[in-house]
Amino acid sequence: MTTFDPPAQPAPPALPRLPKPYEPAVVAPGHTQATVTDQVNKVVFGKTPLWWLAALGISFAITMGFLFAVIWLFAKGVGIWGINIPVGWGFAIVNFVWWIGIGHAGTLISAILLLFRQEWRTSINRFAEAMTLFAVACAGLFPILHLGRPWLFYWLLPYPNTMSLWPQFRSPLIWDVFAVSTYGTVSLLFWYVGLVPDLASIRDRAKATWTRRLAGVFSLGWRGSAKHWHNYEMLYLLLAGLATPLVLSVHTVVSFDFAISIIPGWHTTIFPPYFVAGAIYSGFAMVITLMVPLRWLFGLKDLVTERHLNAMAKVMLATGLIVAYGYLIEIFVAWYSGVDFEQFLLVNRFTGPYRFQYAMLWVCNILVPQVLWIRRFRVQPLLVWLVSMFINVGMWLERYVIVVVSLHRDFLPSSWGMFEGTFWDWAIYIGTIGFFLSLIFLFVRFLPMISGFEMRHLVDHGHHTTETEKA
Amino acid sequence: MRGRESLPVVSAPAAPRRLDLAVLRERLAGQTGPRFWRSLEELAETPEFEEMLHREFPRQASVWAGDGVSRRRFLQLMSASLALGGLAGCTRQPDEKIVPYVDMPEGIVPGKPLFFATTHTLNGYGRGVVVESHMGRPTKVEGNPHHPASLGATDVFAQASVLDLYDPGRLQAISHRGRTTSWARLTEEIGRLAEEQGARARAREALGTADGQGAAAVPAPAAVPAETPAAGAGTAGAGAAGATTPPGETGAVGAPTAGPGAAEERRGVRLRVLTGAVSSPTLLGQLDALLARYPEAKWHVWEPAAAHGARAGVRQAGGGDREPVYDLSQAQVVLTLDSDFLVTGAGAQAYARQFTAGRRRWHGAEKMRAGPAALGEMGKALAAGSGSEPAPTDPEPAGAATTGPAAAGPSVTDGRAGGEGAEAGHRETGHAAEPLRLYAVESTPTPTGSMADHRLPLPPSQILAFARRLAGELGAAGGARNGGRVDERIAAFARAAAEDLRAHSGAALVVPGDYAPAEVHALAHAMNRALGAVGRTVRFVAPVTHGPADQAASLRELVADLEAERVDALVILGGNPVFTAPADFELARAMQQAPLAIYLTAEDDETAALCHWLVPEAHYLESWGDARAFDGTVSLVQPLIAPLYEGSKTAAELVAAFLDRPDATAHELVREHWQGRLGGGDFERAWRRALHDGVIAAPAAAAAPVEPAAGEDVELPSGAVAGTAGTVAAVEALRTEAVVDDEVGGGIVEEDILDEVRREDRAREAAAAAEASGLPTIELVFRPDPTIWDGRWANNGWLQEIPKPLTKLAWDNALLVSPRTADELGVTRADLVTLRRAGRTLTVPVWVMPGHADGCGTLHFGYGRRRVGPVGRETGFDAYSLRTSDALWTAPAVEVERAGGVYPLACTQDHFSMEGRHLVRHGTFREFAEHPTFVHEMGHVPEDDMSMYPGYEYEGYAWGMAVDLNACTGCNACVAACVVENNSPVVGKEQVIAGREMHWLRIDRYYEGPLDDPRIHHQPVMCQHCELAPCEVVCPVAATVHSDEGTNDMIYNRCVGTRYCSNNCPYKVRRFNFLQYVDTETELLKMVRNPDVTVRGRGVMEKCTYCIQRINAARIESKREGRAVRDGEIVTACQQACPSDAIVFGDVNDPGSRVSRWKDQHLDYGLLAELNTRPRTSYLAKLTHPNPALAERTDVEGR
Repeated sequence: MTTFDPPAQPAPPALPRLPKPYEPAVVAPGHTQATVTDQVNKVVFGKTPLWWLAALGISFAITMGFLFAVIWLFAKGVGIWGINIPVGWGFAIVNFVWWIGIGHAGTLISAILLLFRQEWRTSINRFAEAMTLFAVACAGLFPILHLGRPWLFYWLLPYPNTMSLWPQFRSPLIWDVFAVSTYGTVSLLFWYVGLVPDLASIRDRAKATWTRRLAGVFSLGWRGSAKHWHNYEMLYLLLAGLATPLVLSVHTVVSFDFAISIIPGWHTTIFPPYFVAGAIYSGFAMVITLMVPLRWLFGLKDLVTERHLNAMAKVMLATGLIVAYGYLIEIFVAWYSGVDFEQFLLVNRFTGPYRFQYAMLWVCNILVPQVLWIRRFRVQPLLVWLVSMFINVGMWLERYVIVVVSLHRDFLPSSWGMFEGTFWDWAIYIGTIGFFLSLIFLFVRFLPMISGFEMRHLVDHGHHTTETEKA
Repeated sequence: MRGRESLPVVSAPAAPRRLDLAVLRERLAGQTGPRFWRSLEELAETPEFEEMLHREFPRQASVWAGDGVSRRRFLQLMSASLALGGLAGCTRQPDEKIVPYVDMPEGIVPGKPLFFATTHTLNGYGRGVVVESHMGRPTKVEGNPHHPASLGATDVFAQASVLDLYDPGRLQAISHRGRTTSWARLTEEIGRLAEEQGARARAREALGTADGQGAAAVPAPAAVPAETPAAGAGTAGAGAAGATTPPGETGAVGAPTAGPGAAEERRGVRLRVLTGAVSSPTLLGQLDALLARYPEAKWHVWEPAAAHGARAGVRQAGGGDREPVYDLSQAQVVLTLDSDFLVTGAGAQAYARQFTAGRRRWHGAEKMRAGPAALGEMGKALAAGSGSEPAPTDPEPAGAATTGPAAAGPSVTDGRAGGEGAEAGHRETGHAAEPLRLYAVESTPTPTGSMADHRLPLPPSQILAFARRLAGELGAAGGARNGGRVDERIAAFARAAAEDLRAHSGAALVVPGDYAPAEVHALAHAMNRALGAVGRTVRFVAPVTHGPADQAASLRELVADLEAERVDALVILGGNPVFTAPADFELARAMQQAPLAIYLTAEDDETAALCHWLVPEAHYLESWGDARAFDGTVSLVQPLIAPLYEGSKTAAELVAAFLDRPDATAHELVREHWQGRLGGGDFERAWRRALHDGVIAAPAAAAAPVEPAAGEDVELPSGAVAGTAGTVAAVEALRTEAVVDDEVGGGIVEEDILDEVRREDRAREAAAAAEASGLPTIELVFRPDPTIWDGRWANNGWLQEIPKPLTKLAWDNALLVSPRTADELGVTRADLVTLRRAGRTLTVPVWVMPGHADGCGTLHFGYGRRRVGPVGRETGFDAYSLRTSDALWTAPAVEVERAGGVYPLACTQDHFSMEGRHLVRHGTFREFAEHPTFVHEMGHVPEDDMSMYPGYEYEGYAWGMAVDLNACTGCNACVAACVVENNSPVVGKEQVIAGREMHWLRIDRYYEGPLDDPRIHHQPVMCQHCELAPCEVVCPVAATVHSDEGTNDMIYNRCVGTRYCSNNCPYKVRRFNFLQYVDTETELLKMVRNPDVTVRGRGVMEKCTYCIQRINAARIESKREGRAVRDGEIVTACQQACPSDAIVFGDVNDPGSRVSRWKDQHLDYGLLAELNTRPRTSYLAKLTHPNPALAERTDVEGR
């Protein structure tokens, strides 16, 4: 078995990079290719940390609770949730949109930033992609869980059948099926393709038989030849190109779930851009939420540096402002339209029974993130982490406000109602967080969460940068 | 921000517990446009409201526990109990045939329903119904168009009565002290009773004490030694010679099979019979015989929700023992005194139909489309109040048939003939072309009050004063023009109303409420006499129900007898008197003195717990009988099905057991009764005709519904006679006569007034005493519950779940108080208060009800059952515990104390406000005449071509519906009919609170105007079958699609339950099976379902289908006959049940159809049509006809 070490091999297309002397380095100074490889691989080959066991244990327990809640849900029906008439959609759709939104960061980081040649993405893209995948997995559960008759979910798929029935293609829920499944598939491919060289690396270094075998199977016979590298780079670039429009399309289509309807608060043309911005916003927030503690726990501060925090905080600030613009436009249009129902919705958001949620949405999504204007704060891991937590909550509340507040008082006051999440609503929501975290913890332990080969490449470049600085 | 209207934004005060009514009033006063609001808290937008909502939906807190509870509760509701299923297993199962019929029963085509006429009875009054039967299994009750009390319509009770038949909790076998036994044992016991008690009576005689009085001197029953049977046997032969033919027995009946001397034996049996109100001629005949056979027997009557004051009132007015029957077809101006006669009461369906006809006098179909000039003319005519109108035309074609899908039953035709008749009658009066005007003076808001043009909320004590004042204004006997202690507002109302009534003498009518005191009845009839109404708009018939005139006194006598141990045997024929009797009688305690208590009952209730023998009562759909309607018309009760349980008996059969005919079936008894009374010589033919038509002497009744049927072969008795036995003699009257004009109204004497003054004094004293205790007091009004009545339907899930009119509460009762009174008491809705009255207390939640009279509260009785089936358990509060014999309907000075805490109430519609939306559009007749298109100017309807998708040309049928908001009284009959027809499940209180009621049709109720006396609007909302249905485009699996006949169809099989369709429905008429609501386990409940309608499982969306099964049935029928579906051939369930003819359905492609003509009117508008949904269901705007002399409410105007 040949050991594989790629440093001197023909590098991926050397992209001209502009020096940015004012930025901290992408990789902390003093690292060599060997140290980077060690850093990346020590997580995989190192001893299992106790905290990891504890964290996985807790997450896994929550996942088991989730499974229990799902079994109960399938046994009893969606009536165990707080939904009713008029609020036919509750936590399930809120969570679906929330998770899908979170799932936007990975592809954006991997694909769009790759295309834009943002080298700092390298430290976080693998992790972000994995997070995307897991978030999409969580999101993908909800459309099924929320069905009244989940065992018939496949009726939403266009397959030839004895009933001679196609799905109803005018329904945005069908568009959703395509959008989300395509996105999930491409994300998986993208993540997997990026993982292949590192899997080969694991295969070559692993001592355990099963690790070797599994990594061997999944590394697809990668030997690191120039041809392999060439094919790899082409495929990766193509997939990046394919994934890029998906980043925009998925949440656009998800926003159609609402925008196509006639319900005040849903029937809004600004939804597609505003949803996409919100998705990126929440995705970056989730990356920070997870990355900040992990870099600390795994001692990866040299690979995920303040530079990354700074860049991600900027992205959050920018997308947050787009989201704020969306909120303001909603208010403006409601007033400007002169439509009673739209105006009532606006007033109801501010003064109705859910005004606290609406106020918190502004606080979490708009007000708090403004601290990111200050550079000093952007490179404070704890502070950025706190802001990201606010955004996570705020983006969930945004979807809650859109789904619940719009539905609970629509056209006929006689049918107005109230919604409140039940135990099972929360159990399933928190359960998916447990599921998500379980997957994350498994991932960081068993697969390289930082792209080793790309980092090694960066080290070279990093030396360059530091030398430029010195010069 | 919101157009012309200011926002109801309150700078939320810190934590005030109650509504600030002053602020509310101010805000309402500042409004210009029509302003709808649904509840006070919403109007106030107070923080308490949100808090209340949170309290009301404490799911967060209660899920772990709550789910268990709701699940258990749910099982209770749906399946009653599996244990009972086990019991059912003990009875002999009917033979099952596994081969097809060799000889097909006559008329049966498998899969096609049959229809049979029978009679549903409430409070003793019969209402003709036609019952749908699927392969021998009754599933649906419809009105009988031939029956004068039905005219084809029904009420909620009749609709829901089918469920009682299949109630798994019904008693299934005769039991003695809890042990199942047999009918033979009971008849043995009855025989022994006669012997033993006869002997004892003789012993008493021997001791020289008079029967029934010297009970104390009688040795204890146990002292009578065992030789009694022998002694009895010994006397049997001796007494034979003395036996006389009982007077009640008719010649046609086979001679009693009693052994010789039986009568002699029975002479001493101190038998007591307690029944509810009885109008059944057969049963009355038997009771008569019983009383004759047992001279020591007494018959007591207790009907908790009877019109206790009505007959006394007529008597006070000098009308003798009569009951009033009204005829609104002749009426122009009607004033009610605490009456809900359009919705509750024996003649409600007929009155509602007449009322609608009276309202429609003015707008004939042609005129609705007439040019502005003609309408202007009409406006002038209205203003002049003259009859210059051309003879009005009924919008209905003659004989608009409402033929149900009748196959072999009686043909159901001419259902809407009432309107036609009203028209004809109206032309004669001379007050042409003016719609009927209604004034309502009432304490608790009623659906009738909501229909009024002028409504005056007054506490009951003041209603009497008002009546006196009004009578004074009209110069009627008993009136006091200057007396009657009323304030100026009331006096002004009285003056204006009196003037209007007087101006329409001969076409005016004053209707006293069933539960108003006798004095009010007397005054009302005196006024009617003064107005020349007697013989025109009101006539008097012999009492329909019989028995003692003063039921409370009768019951008191029974209690006294029981306590003095002067009763040998007590027979209770239904009615659950232990629960319903006045609290001060303490009947439960007295019952324990009864040595033998036999109870005929359908369920194991409070009374059953105290009786020795329980005899399961046969449901009316499985028994033979007869009953009399509000106007005296007799109709027969015929079974649709053999009794489900072998031991079931009817009252007549149980009484027959006392008449030595234990084996006589109800069928024999009824036939025997009518033999000789019916059909002249040809009894068999007349009998079959009566069964077929559902009414005796039907043709006459159909021609003039409110005229009594005239049977030529029946003797007319010489007037009504008081007393039990005597009354029975008068029962056979098939014809009753109107009391001569002069007789009525002359009899009000000074004593009555003095009596009233004394009563007021007593009330004041009581109030003073209460004030001494420092607690605020209110007058307490008792009313039967609008859905579970006196408590007898507490175990009927359908009725429990129907939201009560106006309050929209389900599953509970509450103390209804006006906003002002609530404020004074310092309570708001759902707060618990303790009511104290003469040492009795009751803790109930409060419900703030706009439009309620101040200073009084309403409590519906019937709830709070302690021993009841699983459905009724732990629902509501027992108002009977405060209801005493001296205050059956009104209790003065009841103390109210805040009890602390709140009680979760299930309200389907009152959480929310509606502002500035033109949902219920309305105006006055005059406005309409002057500005006929005002309705359309209230909303902008987009052009037809405003859709992305190409339009569809409907070449065949295009079904549509129209609802006349001017006719809808909010009575709920349609809701009940929809539930029964479409197999809608019952979900229970918790699910209703969660907002998951499954009714496809709901009646929205909106308040408008001032807080204390708002206008009340009803709006039935079902699926609107939008042309551009928002639900259809969002369904991912095409489970809801448009048919080529324009209906929006729901394919249950295909539905995966995304619920997007419901979210996207602006009317929120879709209903979702969030859980498995339908009980698929209980075998018995499978029988109640309509086999033509799919039963939906969990996870499936459902909604109104326009009764697609009825459309299909008619389409198939018409195809078979090679013709098009006729207009009126398809009648939806809601339409068929509607007493006020507010709903019409048909083919909108046919310009001549009734629905097309309705939709062609200027008044027609689509709900939320501005959303471009293009609804197939449309509404006719509500038009009122206020008296110009009474100040118009400023808020009514303003568009």
